[in-house]
Amino acid sequence: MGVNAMMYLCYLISALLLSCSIVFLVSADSWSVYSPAGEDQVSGSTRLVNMQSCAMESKLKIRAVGEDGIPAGVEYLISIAPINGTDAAIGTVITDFRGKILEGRKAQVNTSEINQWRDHTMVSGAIVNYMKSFTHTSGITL
Amino acid sequence: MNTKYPVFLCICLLLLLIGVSSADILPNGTNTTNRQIPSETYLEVIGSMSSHQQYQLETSSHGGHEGGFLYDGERVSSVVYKNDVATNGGYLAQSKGLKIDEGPQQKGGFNVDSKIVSTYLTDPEVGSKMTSSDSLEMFNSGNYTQVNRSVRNPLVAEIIGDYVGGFNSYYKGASAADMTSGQIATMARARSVGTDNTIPAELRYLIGIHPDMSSGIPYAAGTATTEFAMTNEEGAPTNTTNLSSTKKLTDKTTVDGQIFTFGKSFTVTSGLSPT
Repeated sequence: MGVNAMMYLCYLISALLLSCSIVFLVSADSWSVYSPAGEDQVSGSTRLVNMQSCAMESKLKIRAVGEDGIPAGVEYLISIAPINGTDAAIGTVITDFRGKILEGRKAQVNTSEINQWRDHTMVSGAIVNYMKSFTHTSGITL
Repeated sequence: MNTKYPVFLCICLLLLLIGVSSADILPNGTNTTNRQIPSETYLEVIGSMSSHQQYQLETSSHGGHEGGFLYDGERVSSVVYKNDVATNGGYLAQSKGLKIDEGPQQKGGFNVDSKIVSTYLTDPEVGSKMTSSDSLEMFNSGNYTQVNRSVRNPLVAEIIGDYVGGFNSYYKGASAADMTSGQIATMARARSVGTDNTIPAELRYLIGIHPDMSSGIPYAAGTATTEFAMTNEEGAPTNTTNLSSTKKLTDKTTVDGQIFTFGKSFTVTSGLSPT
């Protein structure tokens, strides 16, 4: 990555948005088996601002389609490090991870579970190392 | 404390506060999607940094309550974890791990498990510092009578004087610090969803402040405050006008100056044994 040309240049490196409504088909006739209603939103984004030099690595994996019983999953990793021969990457890095989950329980009409998380981080200056990651999987059992 | 005439503050405080409440029946997580969300951060920067982290988990055993009332046998729990760190210059190295598991837990397992170690160093003459705050709160409530629409909200309970066989519990562990050098380690854990009714609620909070040995300064410099709280109230199934038990515990400590060692820990577990 060039040194001067990168000044005041804003990179939107990656953004992901997974929004899936999980519907499991339960073939049993028995009313003793219920699948919970669920709504699930996850997002992760990274921005590099005014970076003069850096080495960046990012990894994103999503499993959004599967058979019954296979959990949805998201894996995201971002790493900023100095390029060879320098002590630090110079610039600003902003990451924003967030998720929201709503769930129902059996035949109840109200929400039984609310699960909300957010992680917003900004570092600016001489970045010796910056790594963030999150994994989001469901462990559903019917 | 005047830094020109340094008074060496040596605090060796190992305080273990154990509160035992007798009645937290947690909501079970059966038939939820049991999301697991581990996340990690490692960073090392010379410059400024700001981070804001928040997590909230609310669980209801019966799929929702209405207006401060609980159904027959309903339990609800709520956990809120917040962490904020900011620096306006200086050197910061941070390792942060937050494990979130909304599924039902056994004894020893936690729905929220946070560990953070921050090492900071600056020249105090230039005015830069690190500010951090961290808090974990849990609220549990339940109705273990056969009475529908039992009172959950403690304020409503007090107003109408009706405490039929329910419980309200609130636990909190929190810390805040302004540092110019040193290392802060915090651990915050909470269990708010159980595999069955025998799994007790639990909140653990721990903080340690130490000198950063690699800097050559033999003390951590700054201000740190911790706050621990536990309140619990219970009503007996047969007495509808009075609470059968109330408990309250608070602990607040502030240290300021040259900190050689500062450690505090707080554990609260419900000693539940339902029949």
